[in-house]
Amino acid sequence: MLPEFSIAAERICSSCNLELPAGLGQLIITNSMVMMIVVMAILLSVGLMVKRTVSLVPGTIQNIAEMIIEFIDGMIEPALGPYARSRFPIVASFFIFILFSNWMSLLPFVGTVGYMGEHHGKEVLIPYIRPATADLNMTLALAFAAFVLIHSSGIGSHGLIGHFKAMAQSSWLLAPIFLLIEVFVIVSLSFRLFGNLFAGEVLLGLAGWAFPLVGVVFLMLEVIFGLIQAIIFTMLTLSFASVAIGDVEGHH
Amino acid sequence: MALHLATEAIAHAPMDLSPLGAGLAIGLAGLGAGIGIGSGVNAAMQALGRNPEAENAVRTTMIIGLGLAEAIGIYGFLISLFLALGLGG
Repeated sequence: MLPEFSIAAERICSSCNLELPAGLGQLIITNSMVMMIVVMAILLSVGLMVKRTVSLVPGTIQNIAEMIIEFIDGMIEPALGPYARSRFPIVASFFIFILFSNWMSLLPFVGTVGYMGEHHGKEVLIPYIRPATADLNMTLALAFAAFVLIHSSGIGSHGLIGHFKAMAQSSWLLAPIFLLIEVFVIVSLSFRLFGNLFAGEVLLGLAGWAFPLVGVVFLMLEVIFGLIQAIIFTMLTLSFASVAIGDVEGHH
Repeated sequence: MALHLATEAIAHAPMDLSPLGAGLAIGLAGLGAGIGIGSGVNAAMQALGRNPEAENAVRTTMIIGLGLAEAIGIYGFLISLFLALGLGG
């Protein structure tokens, strides 16, 4: 029997919705939200722990953290120029969060431990925890944040009217198309990340069902793809931001 | 007689072609993505061969280009998943 996959994230228990204030309705807690909170908790605690034990002679965790930070710095410095210092936290957050969320989708109980519920009329297993970036809501949120980063860099660099002119690329006839392309960047970024992660989940499920032992090879593939997708998201955001900032003095 | 049955089937009820659509979606998207990725890596290899010192820049640009090309294949995969799971009815 083929395993059942669901594109949308599902609620973890049927009656634990949070009531939002001011009559905004109910916040449904989904299984990918649980994973997002877990990833955030782990990253925050590791970050605080590293910060507290910072010393001139680095230990193991500080070494790894410094390696990651230097790698991200190497990506950001050539791209953002004058905004590198101020935009570093958000770009590093993109990279580290996406990387850890991608890799934590490979842990043993993610996506497999759950309760039996109904889905499209069939009784299937609904997992308690599901990879955060394999949910389109999460990647859309990340893509919106990247959009804000790109256009705030552009507006900060050229001013509002200058930024629009730079985006229209000095052709008033085609300006709407170029503006539409900027909006499409959100769709592209979010669907690329979501599609790769969700396809990886489907692949692992099918490989585990069809080739129980040899399917481990796909785990290694997913590790590589998780890293590549984190790098691609960050680098694409930086490339678009670099184009939006344009030619600035002191960086080519 | 097969032709007669086929025309009767088409006349009576629309056939659910979403599995066919699913197959075509992933097939053609894979074709496009494969050609794109292949020619991208080809260009990167040629650039590396001419100028081995530019390895970092070439590798970075190639990875970004591959990400963009692969996304198109992913779009096709997502549509095929929608259709195959019956959500596109």
